[in-house]
Amino acid sequence: MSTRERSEGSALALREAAQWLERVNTTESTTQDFADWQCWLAQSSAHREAFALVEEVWCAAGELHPANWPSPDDIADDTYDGSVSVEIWRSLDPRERRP
Amino acid sequence: MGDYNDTSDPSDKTSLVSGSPRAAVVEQLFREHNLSLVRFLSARLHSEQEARDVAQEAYVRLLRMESPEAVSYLRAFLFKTAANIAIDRLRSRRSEARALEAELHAQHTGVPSLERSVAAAEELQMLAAYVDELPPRCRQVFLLRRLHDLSAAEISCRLDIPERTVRHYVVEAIVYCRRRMDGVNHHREGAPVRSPGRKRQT
Repeated sequence: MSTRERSEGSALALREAAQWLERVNTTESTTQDFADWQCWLAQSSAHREAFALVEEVWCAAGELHPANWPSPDDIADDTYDGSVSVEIWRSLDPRERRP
Repeated sequence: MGDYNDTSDPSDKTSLVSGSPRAAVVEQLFREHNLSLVRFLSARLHSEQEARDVAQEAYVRLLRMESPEAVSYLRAFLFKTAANIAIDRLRSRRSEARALEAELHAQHTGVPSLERSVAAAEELQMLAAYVDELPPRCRQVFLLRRLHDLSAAEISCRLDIPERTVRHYVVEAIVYCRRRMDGVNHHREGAPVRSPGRKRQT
């Protein structure tokens, strides 16, 4: 998959891959989770590529030292509620982001 | 499958720690899960041989571990332990490759390897900038999950937000950073652009 032709479609593929990463990357994961994940990976090369892409972010983010943590004020002013992607949230007028 | 080919005779495994209930439990885990464990590791390491090595190391760690004998707990721990070993290996493999590449590069051009590590550092700096662009709560959740290695349940308790939201924020953070890394356009605060609509995304 060329990194130049990303579309809404690939955002969906990445989101699905990230959901799988979150599901299998915990101590609570069950054997069934791993089996389901393997089935999903086996379904298409697009799935495998998307998973490799999100895993790369995950691995690289582990080296973010020191991390820049948000201040309590930042968090108090946060208007993001997860109902849209971060990409869309950022594209909105800042005034629209107020609660 | 090397050492793990022979799963038919459990006595070989239990003899590692003779008579210990732990050994019996680990043996049971091995019989039930070795195939999925090796698959799981192969997908990460891209090497079946190394996957088997890591799986073996994980079983050995499990045998030495002092903790409850509950199978459900050990099963989760087995995968977690194996994943950690795999990550360590990937990390050292990556830095080895990077060092080797830098060395070769320096030999051919006379340019010191410093330039290479600068490139890697710049890449990390870019990622740091993308993480900074995340909404504050989303960024906090992502960093807790990634750098403090907290589970979604632990973050949920600590921040008093639903576990489902924690997972959702982690996913959104990863997707956003990935798309930024791939050069997807974004809109700065000074130049707001209308979104096509407030779509609900799950």
